[in-house]
Formats: sequence, structure tokens, C-alpha cells
Amino acid sequence: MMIKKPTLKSTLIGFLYLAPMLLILLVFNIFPILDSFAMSFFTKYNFYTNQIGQIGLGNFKTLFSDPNFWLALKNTLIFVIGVVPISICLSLGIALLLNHIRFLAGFFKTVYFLPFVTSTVAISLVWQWIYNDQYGLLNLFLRHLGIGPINWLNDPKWAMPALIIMTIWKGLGFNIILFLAGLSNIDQRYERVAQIDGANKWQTFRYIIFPLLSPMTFLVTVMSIISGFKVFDEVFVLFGGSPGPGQATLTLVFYLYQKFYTEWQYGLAAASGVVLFFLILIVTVINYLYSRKHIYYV
Amino acid sequence: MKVRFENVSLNYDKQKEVLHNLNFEIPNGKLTCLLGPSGCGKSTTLNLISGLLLPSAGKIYFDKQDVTKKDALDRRVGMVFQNYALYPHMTVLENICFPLKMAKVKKKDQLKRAQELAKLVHISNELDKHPGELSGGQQQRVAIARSLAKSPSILLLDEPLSNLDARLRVEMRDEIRKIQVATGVTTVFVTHDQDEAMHIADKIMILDTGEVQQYTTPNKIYDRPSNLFVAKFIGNPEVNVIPLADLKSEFASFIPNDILKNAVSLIVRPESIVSADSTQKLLPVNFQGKLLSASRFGKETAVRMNFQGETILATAILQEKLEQKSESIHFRLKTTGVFLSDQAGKIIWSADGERIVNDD
Amino acid sequence: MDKQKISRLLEYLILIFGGILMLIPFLWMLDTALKSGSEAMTIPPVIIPKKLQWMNFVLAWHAAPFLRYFINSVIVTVITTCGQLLTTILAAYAFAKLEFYGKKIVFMICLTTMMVPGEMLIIPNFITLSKFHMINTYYALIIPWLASFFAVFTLRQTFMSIPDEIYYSAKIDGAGDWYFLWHMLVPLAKPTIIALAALEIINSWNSFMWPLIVTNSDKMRTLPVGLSNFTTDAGTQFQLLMAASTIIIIPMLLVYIFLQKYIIAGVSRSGLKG
Ligand SMILES: Nc1ncnc2c1ncn2[C@@H]1O[C@H](COP(=O)(O)OP(=O)(O)O)[C@@H](O)[C@H]1O
Ligand SMILES: [Mg+2]
Repeated sequence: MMIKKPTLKSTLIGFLYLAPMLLILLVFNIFPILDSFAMSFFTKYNFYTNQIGQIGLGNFKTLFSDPNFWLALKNTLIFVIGVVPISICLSLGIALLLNHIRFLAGFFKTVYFLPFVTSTVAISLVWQWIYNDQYGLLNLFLRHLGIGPINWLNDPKWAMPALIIMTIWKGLGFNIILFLAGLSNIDQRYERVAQIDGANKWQTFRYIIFPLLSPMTFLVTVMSIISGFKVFDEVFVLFGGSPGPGQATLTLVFYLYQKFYTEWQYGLAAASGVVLFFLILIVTVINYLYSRKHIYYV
Repeated sequence: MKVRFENVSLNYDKQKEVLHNLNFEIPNGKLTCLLGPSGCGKSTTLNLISGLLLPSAGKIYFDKQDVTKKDALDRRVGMVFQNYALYPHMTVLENICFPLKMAKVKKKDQLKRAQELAKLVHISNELDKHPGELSGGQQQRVAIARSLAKSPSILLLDEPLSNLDARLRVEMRDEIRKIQVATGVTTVFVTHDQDEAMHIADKIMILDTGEVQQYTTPNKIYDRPSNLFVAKFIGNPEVNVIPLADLKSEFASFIPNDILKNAVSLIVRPESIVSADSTQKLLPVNFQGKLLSASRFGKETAVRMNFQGETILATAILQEKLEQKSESIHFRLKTTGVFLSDQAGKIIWSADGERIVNDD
Repeated sequence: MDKQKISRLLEYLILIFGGILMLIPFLWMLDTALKSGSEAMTIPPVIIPKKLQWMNFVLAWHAAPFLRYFINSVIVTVITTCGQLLTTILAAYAFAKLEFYGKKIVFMICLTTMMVPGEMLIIPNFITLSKFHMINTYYALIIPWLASFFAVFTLRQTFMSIPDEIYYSAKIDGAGDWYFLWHMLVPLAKPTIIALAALEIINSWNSFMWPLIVTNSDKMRTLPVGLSNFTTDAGTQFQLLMAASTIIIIPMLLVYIFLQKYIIAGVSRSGLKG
């Protein structure tokens, strides 16, 4: 039992322990991954009879010639670019403040993290109400500032910003917690030594804290980008099941949902899923290469 | 319980054999130390006794019974690990009772036994605490109590004192000895600290590179090391090892020729080098060395000198002898702590008289 | 000295301002939920309702089959969480403490599944489940989520940090492997397990896209899907919508309040090892 040598018996036992997880994973994760790829090459596929009309790049051709697909891709990228930098800056700033204070720090953490645990559907409804052009809280506030009523949810120009603001608000707490974890991992002595060396607060941050925190910053960025690519629930609820005014918030997953659920174009839907997969793969690979290069920080 | 190893070998993986053909017997009711440098196979040997490891070859007997194929539970061993391995989520009492609970002993008897043991190891006041709330020494005591709970056939301790600070180490060492004597349980104690072993053991087994180097009483190990490794490993400061080649003529008068012929090194304990005019029992040879440095540490004076091109250390040359400020020092050797070793490092002659015969 | 006090004050002001921004949607939700229909729809909006309309919660509750949704959500969440914990504990134990052929390769394969977006799997999984005639049943809502490799990965780390000596001691004391897993490893990994459970409860309760796709009748809908559906019926009765939203959010608030410590530690840990 101390010799860690696998035997036939130990292998049988090992797989017995793994079996429940493995069964589910095989049927609902591993097989579907392969199946998705396969399906994206099936045109005229009837899933129920398992009849495949044709195998080929037909789906991808259709996909890439569909202007809506390009719109979805563009919107998704705009969404990610709109959300990630602001979210990172805000959450990093708040995390630094929270790391600095003692009194009530726990309370603030609780408050900022609150949206993370709430149902996206419910909270999106609340935001729909806040964004309401006539009775909404946001426009009431803006009117006091002398800014005319904005038709947040029905104006194609404002739909995307509305989505972005809400997403930042919802994801802030999660990022703050990660940054706080990163900060607590940095030995406080560095900070003290830097101060003894005559660095002021900004210099300490710029030259000590920020570089030491960079692996975490990178991780938070990657996680934010990936979850940005997958945005769906918020769009669905905020715009009442539509992809926004003039498809202004048609995102990649929403496109996939449309093709799959309302148009029954399984091949096309699968193909757009494959595109999503590769987008995320690229980000993951960059992440992997980066963390391999900077492993000494951790 | 007597433990006997018969041609026991062990390899963790196919490539490397860690223990080679061990043969020894651990006496009943005594405290035996396994002593050796880190990585020499002490824990491995202990785990073979415990049944946590099964030998790759050979047989293990507890008294007359062949236990080679039996597991730890069947062998009824008690074991204390270096990190104590107390169950962190259980109280001290629950920890001590655990082996009894597993053995389905009645609740009432469990408690009675646990209290007995707690008294024996002096932790009666800590029974309701969790291990995390105890000091290192107290955790140690709990671990010992737990290992004794089911009246083990043999108690095995794997470097139990390594995690304690120096003072506590001495205290716990004596404590373990007391407990062993009080219970009379056959005990095997693993350590890499020769001092610890010398103080606590009835018998010491010195291991190196997976082989028994010497296995006898502490004093004998010191007075009669069986090879260069043991001589070097036991005793602090370390023995002086001097090439014999140019000195052979000086020893010819009192060492049989057949021995001298094979001897290659002179091994001298630092405290066996004394001033030439000492009145102790001395070997009939006179040497001279060049003083390099002398420093006093409390009751001891460490004298370094150059002798035959080697730097040697002497600790029994009195301070006064050095005050003459002379560069050269005349010294002689006592009749204890002086040995000759052969090419293979085996000690073939000891100054206290007898030839070395392989004892047990 | 004074300068330091001012900057400290500034820090708190920023945090309080941010905190208020975080809370406003929740407060606005509650506020609206307690207004009368006409108060909700006045320009400019009234902030403090004349009379607190607690009836709104009852009205909302009965305006759609929320009881049914609620029961469905509870069933799905409880079974998913318990089932997932069970498969996770068993698998994490095997990966952390057992030695067997194929362990590495199986682990690597499972690891790659963590990278794949769940949205991509919706189509094949929908097809699989419809082949088994499980669409619009609890099976469809539960079975695919009974295993999470993220959870296995996390728990495995915790199990591995528990020293082998504890295992050997338990062995010597007479505990078998199964006993060791459930009476030693599991209690010792309690913080991780609670964190995983809490995160799965939250996930499961709030999950939307999957239940939306695999349910097609009120009988099977969970709260988020039901609520989303309710918006079309409720139309512009925002006070009812907000009351319903509150009803969905509150259970998770309770989970959060009670398990906050574990949840935050769990999220922190997921970042630290990444
Ligand atoms: N589980 C194991 N697998 C492979 N090799 C091991 C294992 N445990 C110990 N060894 C090797 O066996 C040798 C003896 O180890 P050990 O008995 O632990 O030494 P000691 O306790 O004397 O320090 C060492 O070289 C060590 O590297
Ligand atoms: Mg060891």
C-alpha cells in the first residue's frame, strides 16, 4: 500500500471510483465535443434519423457568408473590448482600496460580490427596469444632470452600452475577489522595503505591486474575455428574448441559440459553436504560453 | 515480541534496490534504534516491520510467526510518524480512542483505556482539545498514546523528535524511554541523530546504503566500530583518518604483521590524542605535529595540527601544554579510540587489545 | 499626519460610493416591488411609496405558476448539487490518492474538457437527451450537471494536501479505504467541499440557457425560465416583475450570507492555482 505501483486490481478499483464522473463526462462533455465538430461538417443533417445529407465545409461556407454571423462576431468583440478593460481597472482599484483598509473591509467585499450570487435573469430584469426610458431610475438621474432621456434599450446606439454597463456591474465582485487573493499573496515586506527605499505610494504600486500582481491581472483578463465571449442570458432577458434593437446586441452565443433553437439549423449552430471554441482556444493558448514564461512569479 | 528479518530485500521500483538482503533480530521488550544518514533506508526498514510495505524478497517473523504477507492491522503494530499524523478533526480523546473504536471495543472500555494512556503520557488535561491547539511536544504525546492504545505487539517510531526544538527533544527523548520501560513494549526508534540513539537505545542498528553496518549496544558501537563508516558516523567531533603508509614502521613493534600488511588507514578519535607526557594508558608510539590553531570551547580545547600533511583534530590536549608557544606538539595515542582499517574500510585492529571479530 | 487622514477618508468615500452603486439595483428592485402599479409608472418616478404594497409578492406569486417553478428549482438544485458532490468526491479521491494504470491520461483528457465552452455542447446534448425522450423532464435538467471536472480538480488539490501519514495511521488503526475517504478525507476537506457545494447551488439555481432549451412546459420550468416567461404575461406591471425577481434572488442571498466565507475562499482559490 505504500508502494505506489499500479496493479490490475488497483486499476479496477481506481476506475470504479472514477466511473460515475467519467460516465457523465463521457456522455455529456467528451462525446459532445467530438460530435459538435462532426456535426459542423454535416449538411442537411437529420439528427433524429441520424441521416447525413453530405459531409463537407458547407456549413462553414454558409456561416461565413451570413452577414448576421459577422455581425454577431463583431458585436461580441465590441462587447468584450467594452467590458474587460473597464472592469479590470475598476476591480483592481477597488481591490487595492479594500486591501488597504481594515475597518468594514469584509462588509464592502460582501456588497461588491452580491451580484455574483444573484440570478442573471432576475437582475437583468431589474436593469431592464432601471433602463426604462420613461420610468427608469437611470434616466431620472440623468435628467437631473440635464441629459435628455436616453432610450437605452430601444435605440441601437445605446443598447450595447447598456449591456456593457450591466455586465461590468455584475462581474465586478468576482474580479475583486481574485485581485484580493493575488494581493494577499504578495509579501507585505516588499512594500515596506520599497517605502524605506524612498518610493512613494504611486511608485510602490507602479514598480512593486503591479508587476507582482501581473499574473493575476492576466488571469482575470483571460477569464473575463472568455466569459465575455459566452454572454447570452443578459442579452436574452434585457432585450426580451430578442438580440436587441436592430440586432445591436446579437452576440455569438445568441446567434448559436437562434440557429439552433428557432431555426433548427443544427449544422450551422454547431459550426458557430466550433468558431466559439477556437476563439476561446486562442485565448487559452495565449494564457498558457504567458504563464509558462512567467512561472517564476508564482 | 521478537522481530526477525530473513534475507529481506526491497525495491520501490524495478530499477533500484533500496534494501539488500537484511538479516537481523530485534529483541523482545527492548528499545532498538535504527540509525543512519538520511536516505539510507531507515524508514523503509521500519515500514517493512509495520506491514505498510511488503518485502520484495525474504521473510519477516514476529516471534515464531511468519508475518511476511500480513498487513499492518494484522501485525498489530503501533506507529508514530515524524509529523505525528494526528487526525486534525478529532479531539485528543477521539484520537486516542480511534484504534479501539475501529476494533469495536466497548465505549466504556475505550474511555478507561484512553484515560490510562493519557495519564501515562501526561496529557490528561488536554483530552477535549483538537491537535491544532496543542504544542509540538503535546502532539507527540498524543501520538504515542494513540499508538499504544491497542496494546501493540511492537511500537514503531519514525524520527519522532525531529520536529521539536532542542530542549524539548531531550525531554521527550527521556520521556519516551520512560514510557518504554514502564510498558515494556518492544520498540523500534528511527533517527538520524547519533546522540539521540546513544542516549535512548538498548541496541543500535546502523544502516547505510541499504545494509546493516553494525548492530550492537551503544557503547560497543562507540568503542568498537566495525568499519570506517560507523567510526566516522558515531562520535562528535568526527574521527581523524590518517593514511597509514608512512607510519607502518612505528606500529610494527606491537601490531601483528598480518594485520599491518592489510591496514591502510589509522583512525583516531579526537579525544584519544593526548600530550606526550600524559600518564594515561598509551600506545608505545610518539608523534609530532605542527600546531595550526587552538580554540577553547568551555571545558574543551580543540587543537588543530598538521600531521603527515593531514589536518587532524585533538580535543584532549590540555590548554597548559599549548602555552609554551612552541610550534610543534608532541603527542601520543590512548589505547581506546584508535583503530586500523583495511582497503575496504573494515576495521581490522583496535588499540584496546583484541582483534576485531564480527560480533553479531 | 493630516494628509494621511484625508486620504483615508477619501478611500472610504470612494468605497462607499461604489458600494451604493452596487446596491442601488437591489434597492430599486425592492422599492418598486413595494409600490402600487400607478406609483411605479409615474413621471418622474416616486422614490418612497405611500403605502408598502406587500400584496405584490402574493400577487406575483399567483400570477404565474411560481410555486411549481420554485419546487422544480429546488429539486433540480438539490439533486444536482448532491449528485455532483458524490461523483466529485469519489473521482477526486481516485485522482489524489490511488495509483492505477491510465490515471494520467484520463486526467489529461478530463482536463481538456474544462477548456471547452459549455454553450458548444448544448446541441449534441439536446440531441442525446431527445433520443432518450428526456427533453422536458427532470432528467434533462439534472443529469448533464452531475459531474464537474472543475470541482474534481479543486477537490483533488485539497485531498493531495492531506499527508499520506494520516492514511497510514488510519490503516494501522484499522480503518479501511472507504472509511478513510468518508471519515477522514471528507471531514478534513470540509471547507473546500462546502465551497464547491455553495458554488454549485448558485450555478444550478441561476442557470438559464440550458433549462430554457430543454423545457417547454410550465410543469418543468425552473424559476429563471419561468420568470423570463412571466415578463411577457406581466407586460408593464413592473411592480410584479420586481416582486418576482426578489423572490428568486432571496434564497441565494441566504445561501450567500451563511456560506460567504467558504464561497469567497473558494473563488479566491480558483484564481490562485490558475
Ligand atoms: N515511495 C518511494 N518510492 C521510491 N523510492 C523511495 C520511496 N521512499 C523512499 N525511497 C527511496 O528509498 C531510499 C531510502 O528511503 P528511506 O527509507 O525513506 O530513507 P531514510 O528514512 O533512511 O531517510 C531513498 O533513496 C529514497 O529515495
Ligand atoms: Mg525517513
